[in-house]
Amino acid sequence: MAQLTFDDVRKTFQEGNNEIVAVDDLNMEVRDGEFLVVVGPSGCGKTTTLRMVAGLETITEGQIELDGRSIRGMSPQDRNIAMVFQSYALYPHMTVFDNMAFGLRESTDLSEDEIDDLVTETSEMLDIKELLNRKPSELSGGQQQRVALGRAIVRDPDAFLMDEPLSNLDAKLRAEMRTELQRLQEEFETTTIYVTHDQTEAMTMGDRIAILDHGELQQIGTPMECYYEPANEFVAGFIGEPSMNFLRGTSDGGVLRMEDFSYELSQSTVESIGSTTEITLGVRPEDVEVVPEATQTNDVAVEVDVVEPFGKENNLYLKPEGSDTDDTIIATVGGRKSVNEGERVGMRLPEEHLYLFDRSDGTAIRHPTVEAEEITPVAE
Amino acid sequence: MSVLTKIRNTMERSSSPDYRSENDGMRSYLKSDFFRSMPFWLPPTLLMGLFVYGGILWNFVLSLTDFSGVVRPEYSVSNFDFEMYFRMLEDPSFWSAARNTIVLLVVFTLVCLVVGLCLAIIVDNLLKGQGVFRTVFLLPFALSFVVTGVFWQWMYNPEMGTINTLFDIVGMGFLGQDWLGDPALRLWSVMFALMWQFGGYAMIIYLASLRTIPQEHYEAAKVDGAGFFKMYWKVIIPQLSSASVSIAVVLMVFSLKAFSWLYVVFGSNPGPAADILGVMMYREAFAANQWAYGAALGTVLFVTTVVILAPYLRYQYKRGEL
Repeated sequence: MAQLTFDDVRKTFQEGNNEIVAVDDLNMEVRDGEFLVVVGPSGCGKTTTLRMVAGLETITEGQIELDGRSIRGMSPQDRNIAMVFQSYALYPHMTVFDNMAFGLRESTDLSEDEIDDLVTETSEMLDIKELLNRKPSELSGGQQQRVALGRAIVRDPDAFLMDEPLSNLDAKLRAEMRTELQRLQEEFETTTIYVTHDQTEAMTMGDRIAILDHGELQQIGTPMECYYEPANEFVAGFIGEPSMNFLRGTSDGGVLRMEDFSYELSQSTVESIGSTTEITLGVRPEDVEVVPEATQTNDVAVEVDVVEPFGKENNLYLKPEGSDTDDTIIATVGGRKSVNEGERVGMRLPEEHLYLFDRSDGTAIRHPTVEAEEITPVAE
Repeated sequence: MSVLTKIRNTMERSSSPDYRSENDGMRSYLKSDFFRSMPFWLPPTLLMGLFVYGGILWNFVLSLTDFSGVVRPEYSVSNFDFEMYFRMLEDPSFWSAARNTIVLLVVFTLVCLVVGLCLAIIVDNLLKGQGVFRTVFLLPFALSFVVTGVFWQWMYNPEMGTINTLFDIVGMGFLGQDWLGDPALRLWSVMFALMWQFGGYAMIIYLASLRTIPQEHYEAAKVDGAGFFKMYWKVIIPQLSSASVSIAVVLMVFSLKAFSWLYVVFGSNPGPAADILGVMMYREAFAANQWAYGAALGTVLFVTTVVILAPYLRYQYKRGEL
C-alpha cells in the first residue's frame, strides 16, 4: 500500500524539431488504498502518466513520489509496481502458472514452494485455478484478462497500474469485470491508478476521477463532484452520457440571448454571472423537460428531429422552431413516453438545473442549485 | 443450314437425356479445376520430375553399379549391389569428411544462430543507424561463395593477409597463424569465414521476428522485475523459437553446400582437416573417375539433407504454413 504524489510532472516528446507536450505540470495525489481513474480522450496524456509511474517513460520535469521517496530515474524492476496492459501482454510461451509466477521469481527471494502457494491461492480467488497449466493462446479473452490481473495481484505490489484493461472485452463481460475489479480492489485496498477513455468506467469504478485533456489536469474529484460540479466546460461535456447540451449565448441584463431563443434569468443567477457577457449555457439531457406545449416564460417551441429509443428511456433530439442550423438539444425522457419524430412540443430548461460557463476560458461560473436528495428509510 | 440452326440443333441434342449420360463424365472432367489448371502445373512438374527427381534416381541407380568411367555403366539388376556403400565404411577419408561435415553442420549452425541473435538484439536496440547496420551485416550474404572464398583466401594469407597484418600492426604478431595451412585451424577458419557470410542472414530473420513481438511483452517483463538479460533470456528469446528453427534449417543446408567455398579455396582436395562430403563426392567422381563411388556419396548427402529437412517440413505443414 502506498501513496503516490505527482509534483509538477511534465513530459515532452521530441518529434523532429518539434517538442510535443504529453503531460503538462501535473499535480495530484493518489491516496493510500485509493482507486483513482484517470480519464480523457485519446492523446490526453493519461497513458503517458501511467507509464511514467511504471518507469516505462522518463519524467522530463518534476517528481513522482511513492510513499515519500522519489521514483524518478528508478528502473521499473525496483519500483514494486504491477501493471495490467490493455493487450494483457501475457507471455505466450509460458503456462498460466509460469506467467503468474514470473514476477515473483524475478522480484522476490521466495522459494518455489512459497511461489506455488501464492499462485494457487490467487488463481483460486480469480477462479482460474483449472487454467494454470494452459497456455495463453488456449484461453478466451475474459480468461486472459483474469490471468493478467492475477499476474499483477499475486505480487502484492505497492500500487496497481491498469491501462484500459477492459477495452478488449465484449460489453457484457466488461460490465462483469468492472464489478469484479472493484471487489478485488476493495479487498486488497491497494492503491490503483486505472486509465480509461470510457466515462462509464470512470464514473462507476473510481473513488475519485482525474480528468485530463491535452496533457493538463482539468479536475480531480469524486465521480459525483465531477458530474454535478464540473470545473469547466470540458469536464461537463466529457462526463455524462449522452453529453451535456451546450448553447452559446450572450448575457444582456437579466436575459441570456441564444441564437434561437432567449432565457430570462433569476436575480441570484444574474449575480453569479457578474460582468461576464459571453456565456455558454449547459444542461444535462435528463434535466431537459419535454412538455406538450410551450406555455411558460422560458419554454421553447421545438420540433422532435430524431427519437432514439433505448427501452428504459428515449433520447429526443429537439430542434427549436425557426432554427436555421442543424444544432439540436438532446432530452432524455422515460421509455414509455410516446413521442414521434416531427412532432411539435415544448422544451423547458429548469433554471435550478442549469450550468453556466465563461466562454472565454470555459470555467464554470454556476452549477445547479438542486440539493442532493437523501434516501430516508420509512419509519416503522 | 445457317450457323444459328446448327448451334440450336447441337444444343437440343446435347440436352437430350441419352446424350447427356454418355458425355457427363468426360464433360465434368474437362470442366474440373484439375484439368483446367494443367497448363500451369504440368510443364514445371514434368521438368522438375525429369531433371531433379529423375537425376536423383539416376544417381542412386549409378551408385549401385561399379562404373569407374572406363566402360559404360551396366544397368542390369544382376549387376546392382551396395559395394560402394560398404567401401565407404572402410574408407578413412569418408570418415574424416563425414566428421567434418557434421562438425560444420552443428558448430557452424549454432555459432551463426548465436551471433545472428546477438547482432539482431543489438541492432534492434539501436536508436539510430539501424538501416545502415542491417545492410552492412547482410551484405556478405548477397555475395557468392566464389567471391567470399577468394576474399578470405587473401584475408587468411599468412604473409600478406589482412588478419596477420592487423595483428602485426597492433603489436600482437605472435597471434598470427597460417590459418588455412595449419590442419588444426583449417576447419575453424573455414567456419569463421562462413559465419561471417551467414551471420547477417540469421540476424535479419531474427530482427524481423523480434519486430513481431509486441512492445508490451518487454514492458511487462520489466515491470515484473526482470533486468535486461533476464527479459531477453526468459521472455523474448523463447518467442523466437520458430525463427530459430527455420534459420537453422537454412544454415544446415548451406553448410552441406559449402562445397563451392572449399573448392575455390582448396581445389578438390582440402585434406582430411577440412574435407567435407560434398567436396569428396566431387573429387571421387570428377577427379578420380570413381563415378559410382561419387554417386554413392551423393546419395548419402541427399539422405542427410532429407533427414534434416523432413522434420522441419512436417512442422511447417502441421502449422499450416506449407
